[in-house]
Amino acid sequence: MPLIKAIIADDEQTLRASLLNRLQKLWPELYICGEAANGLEALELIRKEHPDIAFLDIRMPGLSGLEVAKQCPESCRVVFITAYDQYAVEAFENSALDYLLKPVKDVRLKKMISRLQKQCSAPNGPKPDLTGTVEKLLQSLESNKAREYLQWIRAQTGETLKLIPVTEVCYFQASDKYTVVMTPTAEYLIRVSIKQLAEELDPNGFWRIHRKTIVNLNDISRVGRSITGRYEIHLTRRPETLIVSRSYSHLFKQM
Amino acid sequence: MKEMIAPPALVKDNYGVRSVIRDLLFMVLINTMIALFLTSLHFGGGFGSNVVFSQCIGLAVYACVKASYWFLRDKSLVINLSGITIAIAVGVLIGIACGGAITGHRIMFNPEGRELFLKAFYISLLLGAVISYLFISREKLADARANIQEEKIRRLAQEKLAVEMHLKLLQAQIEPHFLFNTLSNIHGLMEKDHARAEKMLLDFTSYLRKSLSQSRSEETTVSDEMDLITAYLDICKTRMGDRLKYSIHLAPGTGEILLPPMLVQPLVENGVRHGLEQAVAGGEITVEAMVHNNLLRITIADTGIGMSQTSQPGVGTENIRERLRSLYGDKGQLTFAENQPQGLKTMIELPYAID
Repeated sequence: MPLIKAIIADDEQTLRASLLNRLQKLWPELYICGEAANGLEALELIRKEHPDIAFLDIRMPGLSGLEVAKQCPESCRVVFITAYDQYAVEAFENSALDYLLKPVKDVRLKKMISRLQKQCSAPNGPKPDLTGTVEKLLQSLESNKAREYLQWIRAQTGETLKLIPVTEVCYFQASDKYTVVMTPTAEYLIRVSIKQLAEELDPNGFWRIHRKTIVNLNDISRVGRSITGRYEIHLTRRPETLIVSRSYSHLFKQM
Repeated sequence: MKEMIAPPALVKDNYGVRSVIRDLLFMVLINTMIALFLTSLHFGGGFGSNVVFSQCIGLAVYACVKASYWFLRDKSLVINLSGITIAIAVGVLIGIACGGAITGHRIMFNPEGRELFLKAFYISLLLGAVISYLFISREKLADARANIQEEKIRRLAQEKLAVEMHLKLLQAQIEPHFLFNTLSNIHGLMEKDHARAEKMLLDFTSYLRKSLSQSRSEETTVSDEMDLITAYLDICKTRMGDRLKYSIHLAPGTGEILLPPMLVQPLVENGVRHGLEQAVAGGEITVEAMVHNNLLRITIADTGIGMSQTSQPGVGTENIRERLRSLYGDKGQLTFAENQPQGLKTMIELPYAID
């Protein structure tokens, strides 16, 4: 029988050693040709050694186990190893992928081994299309990313580069090519134009109300009208009143 | 076209177009009745001219008083009353001048009309004062109602926050990823390295015990919080080996300072989990406590992968910021900065009391 090769990838040395140890006991014919401590090493190892099986921890630095699996050749079967994660477990149960839950019970490992042995002894059998499944899994697990909007403003104050969460910003005001960031207690100048900010901020949280102003919707306490009919925005955390220019007045007409 | 969502509920305010039109119609009616009344007393030059004067004076006073209130509404009562008195006087003069211009009875500048002018002036002042008083009362009532509303909302928000915080404290007692990874490690070590397995199990039990007792109390000391963090980092170090270095510094005297529980530990956990574990080479995390400007300042700095500008702030950090704000107002701060040469620096500041 041809030698069956496998690699193990996990950022924690103890877990790699433990899995190696148990595989050697339960499946002595399995040849473990390499260990990887991160996703990049794992991919390199797979490309160099051409293993038949890859045991991949999901959460690894560099590339995640899922990302490595995406780039795995078809000849390599992937077994994912994951710690408790409610969403991961659900996602895996609904997919055709093999996975093990940490801490790995011997019973489960034995089952997985016999399954792998069957698959490996029938190399010409139909192979499930893993790429699509892995892609879907990746998407469903990382679905909190949604569309990637700007969440942090980088502003230099003295020697520190502060990171200000956008929820702390009451409004942005253009100043030449730069922008003034107004928080409840401070103001910062950043080298990003108001136009660029308008493109990068979540439109459900921030509205452009003027060529020069973007306001945080959660900071609006009320919208009044001046004598001239212009809409004026009163803020909850700052004393200023912001004027809405005519081009953006339509946003408030529904009140 | 991007989907627009309406901003939160907005209070209707008395400077809106509908409100002004309503006021004007009301004024026109009142002024007409005043004119009728004065004409019946044989005052002035007939109903026609009385109506004109009445409308001009009435509207001019209305405009001046409304403007005065708008600019001065936040100032003291004395300033408001003075402003309104001046506004009434100015309004009356403007009104009489306009009325005169329209009707031709230029009583203001005409020496013969002097007596009539003075009578008209005093009557207008009196009526103006009465109507302005009614008007101010209405404005004040509206303001008071708005304030009560705001106060109610503020109190509800605080209560909601307190409930959320208690819920989160219960949930945050142990993070599942940390729990299962640690158990896996202990399990993995048990066969080949019994001594290390035992140490890790004891460290973990100690951490759990400290964590549970802390999260149940209203406050903890800085040194107790650091003990908890040490227990946590020891476990992480056993797992990550060389990939984790850590150090904890307490400035003299900071140990006994009281602070709310579960403020610092979640930030350290974030630093390890999202900063260092994700870095191929790992890195170092330092926790420092010191007193600065009468505030307790705790800094957590890691040399991990840092924060990308699009990564959403965790619910944990938002919760910490809100707790600081509700307990200490502006004096409680949670700030972030990029660490040099890489990684994230988190800082908590709060006013302190000593045990």
